[in-house]
Amino acid sequence: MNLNTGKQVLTISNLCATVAGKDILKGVDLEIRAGEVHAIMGPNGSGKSTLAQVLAGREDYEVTAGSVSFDGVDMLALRPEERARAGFFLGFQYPVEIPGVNNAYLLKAALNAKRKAANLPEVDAYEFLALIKAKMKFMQMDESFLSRGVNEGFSGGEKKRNEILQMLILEPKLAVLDETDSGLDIDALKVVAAGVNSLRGGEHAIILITHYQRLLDYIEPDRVHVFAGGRIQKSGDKSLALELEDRGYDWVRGDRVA
Amino acid sequence: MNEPANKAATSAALRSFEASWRARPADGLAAMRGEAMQRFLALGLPTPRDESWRYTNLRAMAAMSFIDAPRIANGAVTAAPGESWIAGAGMSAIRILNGYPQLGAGADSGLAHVAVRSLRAVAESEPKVIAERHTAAAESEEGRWTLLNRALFVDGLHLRITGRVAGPILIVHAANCPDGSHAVHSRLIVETGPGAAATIIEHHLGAGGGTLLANRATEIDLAPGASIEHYRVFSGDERTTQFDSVDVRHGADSRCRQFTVVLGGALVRTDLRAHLGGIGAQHDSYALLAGRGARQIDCVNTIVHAAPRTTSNQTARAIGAGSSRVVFNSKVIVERGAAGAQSQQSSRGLLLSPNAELDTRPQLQIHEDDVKCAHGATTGRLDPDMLFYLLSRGIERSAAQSLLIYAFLDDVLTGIASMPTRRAIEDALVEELPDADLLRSFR
Amino acid sequence: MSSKSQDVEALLSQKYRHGFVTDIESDSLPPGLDEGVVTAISRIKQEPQFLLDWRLKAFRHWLTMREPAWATVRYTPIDYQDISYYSAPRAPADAPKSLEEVDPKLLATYEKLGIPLHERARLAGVAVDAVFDSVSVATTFKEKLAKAGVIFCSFSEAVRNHPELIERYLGTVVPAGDNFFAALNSAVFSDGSFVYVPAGVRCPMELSTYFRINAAKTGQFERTLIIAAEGASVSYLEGCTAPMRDENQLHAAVVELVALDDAKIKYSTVQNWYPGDENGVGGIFNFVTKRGECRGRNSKISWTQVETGSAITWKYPSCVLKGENSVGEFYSVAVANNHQQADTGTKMIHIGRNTKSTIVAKGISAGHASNTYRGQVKILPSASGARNFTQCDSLLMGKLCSAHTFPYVEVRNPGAVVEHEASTSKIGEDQLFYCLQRGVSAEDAVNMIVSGFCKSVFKELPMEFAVEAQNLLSVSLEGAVG
Repeated sequence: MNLNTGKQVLTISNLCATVAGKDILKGVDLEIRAGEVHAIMGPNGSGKSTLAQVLAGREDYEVTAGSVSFDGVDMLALRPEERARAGFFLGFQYPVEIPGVNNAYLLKAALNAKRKAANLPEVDAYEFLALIKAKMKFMQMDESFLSRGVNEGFSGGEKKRNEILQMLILEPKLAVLDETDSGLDIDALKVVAAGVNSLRGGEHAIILITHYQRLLDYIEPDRVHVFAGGRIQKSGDKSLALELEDRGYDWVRGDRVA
Repeated sequence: MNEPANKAATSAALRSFEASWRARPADGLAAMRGEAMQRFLALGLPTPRDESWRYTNLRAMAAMSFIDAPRIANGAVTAAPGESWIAGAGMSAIRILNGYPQLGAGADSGLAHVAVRSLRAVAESEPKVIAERHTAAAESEEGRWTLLNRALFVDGLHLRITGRVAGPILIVHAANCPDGSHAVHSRLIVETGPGAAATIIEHHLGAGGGTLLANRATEIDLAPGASIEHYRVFSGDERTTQFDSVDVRHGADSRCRQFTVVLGGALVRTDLRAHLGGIGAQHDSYALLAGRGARQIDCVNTIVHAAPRTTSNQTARAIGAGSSRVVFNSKVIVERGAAGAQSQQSSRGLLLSPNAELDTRPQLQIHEDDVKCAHGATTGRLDPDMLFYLLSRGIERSAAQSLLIYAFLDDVLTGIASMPTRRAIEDALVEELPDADLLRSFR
Repeated sequence: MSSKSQDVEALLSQKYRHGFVTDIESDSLPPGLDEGVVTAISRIKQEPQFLLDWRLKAFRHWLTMREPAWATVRYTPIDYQDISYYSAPRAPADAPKSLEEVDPKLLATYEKLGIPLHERARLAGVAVDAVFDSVSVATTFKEKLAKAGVIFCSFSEAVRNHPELIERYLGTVVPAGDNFFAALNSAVFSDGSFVYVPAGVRCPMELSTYFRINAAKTGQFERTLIIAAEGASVSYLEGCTAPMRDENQLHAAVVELVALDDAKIKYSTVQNWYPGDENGVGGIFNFVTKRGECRGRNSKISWTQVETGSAITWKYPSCVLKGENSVGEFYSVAVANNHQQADTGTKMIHIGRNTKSTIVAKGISAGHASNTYRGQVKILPSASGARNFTQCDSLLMGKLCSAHTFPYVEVRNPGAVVEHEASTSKIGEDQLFYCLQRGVSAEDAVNMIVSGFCKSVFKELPMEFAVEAQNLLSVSLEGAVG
């Protein structure tokens, strides 16, 4: 077990949610502390991504029961943009393309929105440029990304790098990365993992949602949760991920508590 | 079931137009005016039964009487309302006030390769130049306002472009009318020599005071290899009605990039007729139609491919906010023999209000088999996924919406080659949207 | 390509395969139209008073209307007083009760068309309500349908046996005064088909009707009414062929579909009426009003049509999407060759919330023909969450034909999403050459390419129709190498 005694960042209790009248989340319980990295693994269609979207405040989902406390506040009462400014970050599984909205400007606007909410002065263009260039270099991204529309014409891997870049700039208290590893070749995976690892520790908490163990070879989780049937079925340390790899998800399904 | 066709005597508007026509001088253009007036009266005011006026009802206008806007002599007015916000460095500006160009004594633009004359001067010295012009508009029923313009115009501009003109020529259409309902019928004729190139910007301002009907016609003749970039920007007030027609006749290998930008006015009807009659000619048209308040915008494009290997591209972006109604009605005609014609159209509408309406008619009439035509038209709301993405990055909802609206217009804005013009239009657009400060930071 | 286009001309000159006249004596009213004729039709058919009143009202309205002129079709004016508005084939005093009682000449007609009625019915499990001129003469598989509770009969029979259903639904989708041709039909309609599928019933077989136009100078005014009650579903097939004549014939049918809650109606048409000869002489004027109303929530109406015949086609099978979550579909292939003129398309009127519609229209023009897609998508303010996707593609084969696209997209709800895509091009020379190089004949290559072009529509047809449609297409376009 991990010995982290960091501050509780997120507490999810009995979270239930529906989409178009269909139950997707059926009583999710989860706690995460500052400095921790948790992995949520599970089969397709188990509700992992729904959990990420509900945490981010997607309107299509209706929360029918339960609570989410984020850094001491009732997260469900906040609008999506307020959650973001409070330090919540969602790395999208399928980042949308927004032609006509400049990538760098969006990031600057996002950063300043967050700083403004925290009563910090806005960064000026010069500071921002220095910051983003450094982070882009770290993420091995071409500077042409700065002048392009948000995710416009990006490959799958480029989109995922862009998500991590945004995370590094915004430095969230809690980042939920939804299938950030899917569709990445091994080199891209290493870069993305390096990005995540660079944020690790201190005040930041990270939840990795993934289908495969592969990502966990590069980002070692403190806790692993197995998600199936709309809730967490099993939790353990990183060895659980390896056991899953060996035995498959059917093992958890069979093991499910009624 | 059938309404009686509009007859000359049936509406106040027609009677007032007829009265204006009777007041025109018996000069070398009288025969042309008379013929055009008779045809206009025979057609009457359009009704929604006319296919090209299906979405714009002029019933209210029919009951109004219009008098000619007063002539304002050169320099007589120092404080005319509505300076153009497009005017910028490197632009040569010509003002047309109530339809009368405000030219210097020498009638010289001072620009190389451009001869500028008032249309009145041309009418006096060489009436044939005007009387013998034929335009597609005046031949068709859809062009009835062009007929009225032909019958009633008192002045306007004649530009003869013979070479490559440096910097845009800005023509500011301003009006200074006291209370009451005034009509301005003015005309712009642009003739080009082979290989000539120029950028012409027409900026239409409001009336300042009374109700204004601006019935304008622009004719652009492109000689072989000539290239014109033409803009018409409308920023009139809510008492301004614009009927604005642009006719472009293409010679071989000529090129025209035409922009229609509607940011103001109560009713703005824009007609564009491009006749691609020369082999290898190309016409690219862009429309940015911002409907808000109770504005009605009716943008009608007719592109005729009449020669082999001609190309047309249309890009239209329409926004419907408030209780506005925005129509984008495009017709591409490929005539028999225009082998190798290519036509593309992208039209997108963004509907922002439950009281607004967007109507789109991407029409094709093809009489030639060797063609490639593709049209795409979409109408919808702001993309919820894009909106959520921006929200999830901490952007305020209203700002995120503005940002997406602005991005929606990007394909037209980036097409504007004249940077000062683009800046000016962007500035004007930003002012129309919430969170202007944030939008400005995005540019 | 010039030598190729000569081949085209040769191939295009293919004669109409289904052209002939059956010699059956007809009981006809003399040409002419007034209230007396309308009353006579109603009396001959022994109709109840409400129907006669309805006809007369329609007739009086029709007198005030003008023939529409907006379609992109040209024809010599029709003299409505020169048409006979009723004819019935000579038959025993009562309608035949089985195939054995049907006039053998009529059955032979079907044989000539390659549609052996009984065989086809038995083999394919299809019930056939054959309409010969104006009166239904044969209906099969009634028992099996009756067992399921499905009413499938001629319109006249329905008027006799189920007047309450007729009174309740007739004219509720296409009002008597809807348009010029619908009003005319409402006044003088002769017969047609009636289908009622009761709540919860899945119609056990495809319902099929073969229409024929036969007696000279007899306008044919079919009236079809199909009702699918709550949770019911039905697939209806309409197929048409016609005898060769030199005189233009008017056909102004009305089809009304009503789908209640959770009901589904699929209506498929293969239309192959006589198109006129290669000089544009003769051929059917086909001015049809077809409309379905998704009255109930989650209901669905799907139109599929393959239009290869008629001199002039004027036809817009439409959907009024009233019920929440209701779905409208229109899949169309329209082929115009020689001097044919087709002006066809659809209207999708979105009224209910979350209504969805799909339009796929494929137009093929050859010879001197003109082919027009005309479609309206209207999203009313009440239709939040409405969606439409439209794709209309035109293929041109030859220098003298034309193809037009006239869409009207009218959106009044900010939550709706409407997409329209259109393309026009000639048959791909590269594709043709590729096929030729592989040893495929030009004709086969064209067939392959055209059926590829039409595939997304054909796959919507019921299996037995898809084959027929494919054949029709190749017959219609034989020789049309571009």
